[in-house]
Amino acid sequence: MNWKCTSLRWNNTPGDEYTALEWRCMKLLYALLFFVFAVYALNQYNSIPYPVGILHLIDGSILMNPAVKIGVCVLLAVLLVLYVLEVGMIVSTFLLFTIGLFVYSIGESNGVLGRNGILSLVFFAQFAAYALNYLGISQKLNRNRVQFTIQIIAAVYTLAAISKIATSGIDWFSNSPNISLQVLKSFNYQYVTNGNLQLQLQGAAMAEWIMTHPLVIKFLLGGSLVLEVFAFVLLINKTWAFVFGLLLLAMHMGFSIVMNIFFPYISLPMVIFCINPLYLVVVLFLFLKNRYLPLLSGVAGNTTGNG
Amino acid sequence: MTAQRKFLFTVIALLSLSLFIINRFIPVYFYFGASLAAHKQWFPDFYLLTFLCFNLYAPVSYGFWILLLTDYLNIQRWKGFLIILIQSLFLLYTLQYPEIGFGVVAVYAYLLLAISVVIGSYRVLQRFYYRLSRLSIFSNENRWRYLIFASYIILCLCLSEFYPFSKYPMYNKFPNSSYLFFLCDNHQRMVPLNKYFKVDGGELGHLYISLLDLHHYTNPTKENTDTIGKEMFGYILSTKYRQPPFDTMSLNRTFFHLENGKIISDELEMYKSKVE
Repeated sequence: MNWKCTSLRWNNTPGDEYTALEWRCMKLLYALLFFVFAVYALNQYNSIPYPVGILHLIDGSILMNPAVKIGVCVLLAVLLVLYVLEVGMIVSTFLLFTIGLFVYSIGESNGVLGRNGILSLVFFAQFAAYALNYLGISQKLNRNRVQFTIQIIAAVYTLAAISKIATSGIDWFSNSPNISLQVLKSFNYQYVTNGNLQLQLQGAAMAEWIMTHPLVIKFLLGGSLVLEVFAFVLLINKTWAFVFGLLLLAMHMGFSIVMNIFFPYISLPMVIFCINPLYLVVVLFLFLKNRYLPLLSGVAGNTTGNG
Repeated sequence: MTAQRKFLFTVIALLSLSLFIINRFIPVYFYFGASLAAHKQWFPDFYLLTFLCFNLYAPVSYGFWILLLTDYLNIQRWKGFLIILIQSLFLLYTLQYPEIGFGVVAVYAYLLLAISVVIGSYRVLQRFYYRLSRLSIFSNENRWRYLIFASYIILCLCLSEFYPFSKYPMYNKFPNSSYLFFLCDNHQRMVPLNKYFKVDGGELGHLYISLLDLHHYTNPTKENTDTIGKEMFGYILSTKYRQPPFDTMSLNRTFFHLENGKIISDELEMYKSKVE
């Protein structure tokens, strides 16, 4: 693999193209994320009491067999390595999507509606990009494999906005004091899970603060709804995706601090494909290396010469 | 007529003809005239999709089929209207036989409506299509830019909760109520879930909502809550990875609600049993 960075600017290709380095950074981080979540889903549940989704159509009880669980983990690891190494992308992305459908349906089939469809659909979007390229329908593979993924992410935020507007309408703002109950609940969820009394006290304090500052909460909720409604701007180009991705990240961090709620299945893929943090780190590293290494080697050379 | 449009029309025509062939073996026409409520009863998970498919597929496909005939075979407009007249006579004829069923009549009623609209507004549609195709977002460059985005949204709205599709309803409303579930030992001390079980507080909250949906309990009574409590208790025990040092355990629910600007909490013991 060629890991050499040709330019040190984050947006170093015209328009909407993504460099090979950017793509590899996204892939590497996403493969790790997918594997961790898949192993968690397989390890967490021992039965499929309320089968939903694909497990409602196909009996997936074999997935609960410990030997099969290990086999699925090994298969996923092999496929993810192939994916990172860019080998047989049409087959590997399709298989990862299919396995993801089964694995992530296990949680949903235990009554835990994680709404983590995005995790497997990311691979479907990339499969579509590679298939279109293979069939000669669209040659813009460098753009499509990331842009298609971002389309899924933008769709999820838009659906969340539609759901809020369709279900609550204006009440979503006017009933904002009731959010204190949700905040209290989410802090207490953690308290009953790990027994940390500090969380229960934090939850009570936060709920009290929300009830005494309704305007601030209305403003924050309004801001988050506006961000979700306009999530389609992620699709304009990669610069918009980066800037809007930062705004969405700020929204998630706000939810995490105020409500103690974090949506890892949605926010982490968004961060990986819109902000691409690993690429930023690599670029920073290369920048520092190019900027300071010659100086250091110069100093070292001088020292050696003088000595 | 361009080659692309010819291809599109041919595909749609073949699809609509396939309907006739399917009808020979499975009488699907019954579904075409059915109301949204009926579809909701038959296909509770996909009713919007089936309703739209059955109600839009036939008129749209037959409409295109007639367009194909008039355009592809260069049939004059008045001949197109002649086809409509023949179809209308057929409709009147079928009305004499109630045993044929409303489904068939509805199909033809929709069909005639669609054909009239398509033929009557053909030029307008053509102009609209031309202008639409010249918009930058539909250019060759941007053809794929919004396709997956739009398709996924439409499928999620139609299929609702069917992994990987969802309406993503997280926190879409803030009702004046919230529930918390926790375990207590035989001395009524709270038991941290992750000490003995592979389940957390959030998952129990989700499970409660899922079980309410599964049992169709909209306003759960005491008996309903007991039933759900027993199921939740069984589920928690199934995730046990370490034996707790107590023999009896209870599953409790706290109900939070706002009253005169203050948070009130009510506790309820849902189920109590031995830890086996």
